[in-house]
Amino acid sequence: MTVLTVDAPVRKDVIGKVVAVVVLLGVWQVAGSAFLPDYLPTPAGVLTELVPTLTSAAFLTALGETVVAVVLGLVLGCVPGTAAGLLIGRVTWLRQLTTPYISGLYAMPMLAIVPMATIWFGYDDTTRVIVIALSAFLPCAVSTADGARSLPANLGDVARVLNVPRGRFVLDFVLPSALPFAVAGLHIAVGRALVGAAAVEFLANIDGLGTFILTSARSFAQNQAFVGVAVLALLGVLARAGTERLIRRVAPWQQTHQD
Amino acid sequence: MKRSGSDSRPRAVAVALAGLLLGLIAWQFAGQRDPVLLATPVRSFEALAAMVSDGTLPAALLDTGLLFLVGLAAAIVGGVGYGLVLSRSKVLRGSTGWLVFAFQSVPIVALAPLILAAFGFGFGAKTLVVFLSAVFPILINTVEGARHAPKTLLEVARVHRSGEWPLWRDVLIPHTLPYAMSGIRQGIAMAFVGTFIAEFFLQATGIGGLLLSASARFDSATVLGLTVLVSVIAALLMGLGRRLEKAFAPWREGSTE
Repeated sequence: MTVLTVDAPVRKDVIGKVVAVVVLLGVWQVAGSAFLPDYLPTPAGVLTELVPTLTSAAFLTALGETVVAVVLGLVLGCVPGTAAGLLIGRVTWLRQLTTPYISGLYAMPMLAIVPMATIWFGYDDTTRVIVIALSAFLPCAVSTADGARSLPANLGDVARVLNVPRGRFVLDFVLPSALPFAVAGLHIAVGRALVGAAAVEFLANIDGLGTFILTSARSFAQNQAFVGVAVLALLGVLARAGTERLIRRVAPWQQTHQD
Repeated sequence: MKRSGSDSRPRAVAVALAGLLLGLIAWQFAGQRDPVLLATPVRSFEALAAMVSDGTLPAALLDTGLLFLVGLAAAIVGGVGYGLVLSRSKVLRGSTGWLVFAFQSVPIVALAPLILAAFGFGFGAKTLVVFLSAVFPILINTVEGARHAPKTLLEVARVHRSGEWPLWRDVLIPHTLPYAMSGIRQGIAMAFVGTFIAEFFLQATGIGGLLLSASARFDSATVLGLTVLVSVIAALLMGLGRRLEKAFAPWREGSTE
């Protein structure tokens, strides 16, 4: 398995990657136009639709709607989520009291909450922001609680022996150990918030990137729909790359959570 | 302010149960004050019981369960299988490995309308959604695990002219399995999400279908009951996945060199 040459694998890799992409796109193009014309997006179709879609007013408004809702939902979910995580991480009885709710909701696909949310909050923007906020709240709370608990026992003992006041204890002991976990929670939350946004928009028919994809797909503009999907994926990648950099900055020793 | 290691297990369970009880009482009170928006737990339970006795709930559970299991099984076979192939083939790994990561970042929810348009809403299309949701974490963890297979063992096997199959059986699979199990744990959670994507956006069947139709009727008792049921099932599946991962974890310890 060990390879002794140094430069050959690199060049081979590039060739391999190009071949893989060409084969993939070729099969996709041929299969799409041979078996399911008009039903499946094709690479050529996506390419011709790319610029017109990205510059169309409908797409830009939809994108703006979704991004604003996601940012708002992230703020409304992650700020209380992190605070709740600090609390339930340090206060034992509170953690035990809320365990059934936190673990039940954390495990649950947020999609399944949308039918209830539409009854409570109606088919409008409120529902979207609330579902996004809830999708963001849970990973932030769970991860931060892990972090707050991870404070080494001997540090807690030191604080007690030195009579560190409670406020200082939280600021100087708990917060630093919980911070990387809080950012890791944000990392997961961003991904879930974007997916949650698209799901709510589908189900509740709220204007946004999700509905843009849905209406395009329904009106046989598959290539246009695919551009929407790709933009959504790209937003996720960019956001996660951003939080990953943030993690590396606040805690270089921390590995990012996989989700 | 002691570290929380001191909380005893029975006490934790008792407090958690107290929390559940408190929640139920609060829910009952809130439900009595606003019966339209928030059905009481008693009414939700009655709604579930009625669906059990007329057979809709068991049938829906069976539908959902079958879709989940078939999709997950396909994802495990595909993910672990291709992951192992990637670990043996440098060419494939170099050329398609990065594509796996690219595909992984595509949100399957957003793909649902396209899958619906292209492949319809039959069982195959729904299974495809579940498969796509679950396959990537399994695949990525398997590749990661195969990378941890000890190089010396692989080299010894090669020196002794081991055939491809014995090499897989004795070295590759045992060393990869614990990592694949982590992937499968994540895959279980993702397959559950995928099942709901399929049932919500392709064809309203199973539990997802019941949820949608009850929501359209503003039948909050049924929706609440089903939502709680879903979260209990999800928590059980998470527990099962964690247990599975733990069962194979000792192998991982042994493999570190």
